[in-house]
Amino acid sequence: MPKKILMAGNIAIAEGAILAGCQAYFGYPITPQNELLEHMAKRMPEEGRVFVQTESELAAISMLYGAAAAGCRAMTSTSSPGFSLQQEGISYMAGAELPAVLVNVMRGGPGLGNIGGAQGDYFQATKGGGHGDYRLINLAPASAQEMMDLTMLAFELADKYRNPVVLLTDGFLGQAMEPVIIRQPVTELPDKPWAITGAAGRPKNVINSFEMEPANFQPRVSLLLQKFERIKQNEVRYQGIHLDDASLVIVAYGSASRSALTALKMARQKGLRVGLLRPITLFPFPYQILADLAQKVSDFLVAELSSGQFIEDVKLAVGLDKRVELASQYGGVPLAPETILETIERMSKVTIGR
Amino acid sequence: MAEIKQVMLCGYGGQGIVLAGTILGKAAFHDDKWVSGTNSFGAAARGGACRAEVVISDRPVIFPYVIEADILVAMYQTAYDKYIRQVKRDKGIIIYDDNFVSPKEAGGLKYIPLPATRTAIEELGGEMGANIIILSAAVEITGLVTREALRAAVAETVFSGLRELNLKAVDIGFKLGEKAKVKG
Repeated sequence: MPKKILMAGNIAIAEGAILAGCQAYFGYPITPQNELLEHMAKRMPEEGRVFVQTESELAAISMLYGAAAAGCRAMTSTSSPGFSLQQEGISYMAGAELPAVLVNVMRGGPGLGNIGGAQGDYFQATKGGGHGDYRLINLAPASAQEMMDLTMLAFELADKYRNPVVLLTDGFLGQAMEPVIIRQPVTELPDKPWAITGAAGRPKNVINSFEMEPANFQPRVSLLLQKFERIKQNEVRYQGIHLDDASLVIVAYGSASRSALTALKMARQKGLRVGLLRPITLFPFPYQILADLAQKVSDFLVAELSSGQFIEDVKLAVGLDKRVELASQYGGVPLAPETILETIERMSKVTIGR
Repeated sequence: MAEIKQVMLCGYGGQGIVLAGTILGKAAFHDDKWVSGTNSFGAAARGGACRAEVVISDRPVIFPYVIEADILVAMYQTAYDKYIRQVKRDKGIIIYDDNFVSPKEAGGLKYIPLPATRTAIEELGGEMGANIIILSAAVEITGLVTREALRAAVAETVFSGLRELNLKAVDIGFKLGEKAKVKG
């Protein structure tokens, strides 16, 4: 029987990283992510691995660059303001094709904001908060169990594509304690023949994101873009609930999807045919799944903990002739299921032409 | 419908509210229930109105926070004033520490005073343990979790140096709870 333990989402991420074979962790404290760093401070030395509490988020991302270049499975974690500080390093890592896991336990923003949960870093995380033509794989867990599972997947995908992967979650899920089934540890890590490990007896490896001659750099960027296309083809993940007979589909990810699912159950009890599409990957975004749904559904309701960011991707997928409404909270406030239910009921009363 | 119990514990940062919430969550988990628990995690955890929420259900918990509390355990007046609004109207149960809370009683709600802090001072030699006393009494009164599960959760959560004191607090709490039940 696998072991089941009650743990906070932040702890589940830390344990997931250890199970995935994370060899080095670098981080700087920030709420509501602190339990993750604190847990790593205890557990990484127990496992004989590297833990560094850095002097800043900038140092953490730069150490992560170094560890990844040396071929280590490595991770950093932070919350929104710290994630902003790390953007330069993230762009460099994407440019140098370095695999690593970046955890952002989002909080209320902009600015210093507050320590409540939010999803206001959606644009920053999924569209590239740093400079240049790059994309990050984004995974969005919706439970403590998924905090563990998707952290493990994040390491796998990072190595598979030699690309940084973001685990995009928020303070609500980071803090909430839920039962978690402990997974089997990863015992074999992939070979990294490209890593800087000492060039004795082999041609030297070079890791950088720099090429003085634009004409020579463009092919490198083209290769990156081809990689992002492969990711879009192969890595879309989502969960669909009651989509078969739905006349209205809620689209929500992460902790907003928990509110959405509660609202769905309430709506179903009232006889309203509501479904839920929950993207698990935010990049790649499940555009095609939504486009296919839009062939038979005209009403979409987006629930997000930001003031209309995620909804842009939904609109892009379903087209401008569909009704897409927003139920949202922002600034660190949770989204009550009743708020979503009210919007469902209002939309159900006024049907639009098919 | 599966039974869902929404519990809110509140008090002043430092009284052990977050610990009590964690212990209640673990106890429900030992009873093979589905659980979600959340706490104050800001400055409130070190002074100021502080809370812990625990949702206990026979089926997976979808919305992880308390929407309307079935049970409020209150250990400090300012925290009580802040969180009383989240108690289920007409049927919520309020269990409070009579040393620090004096509620203005509203109709429909059930109010149960408990001398948790006073008893801790008298029988344990200080305020430490009052959180476990009131939690154990609340468990005895409401049957939220089994006695065995609560005891096991206390034993595994509290650090070894204070384990004995806290297990003693559990027994004191159960007794206070029994008395309160007899009183009705």
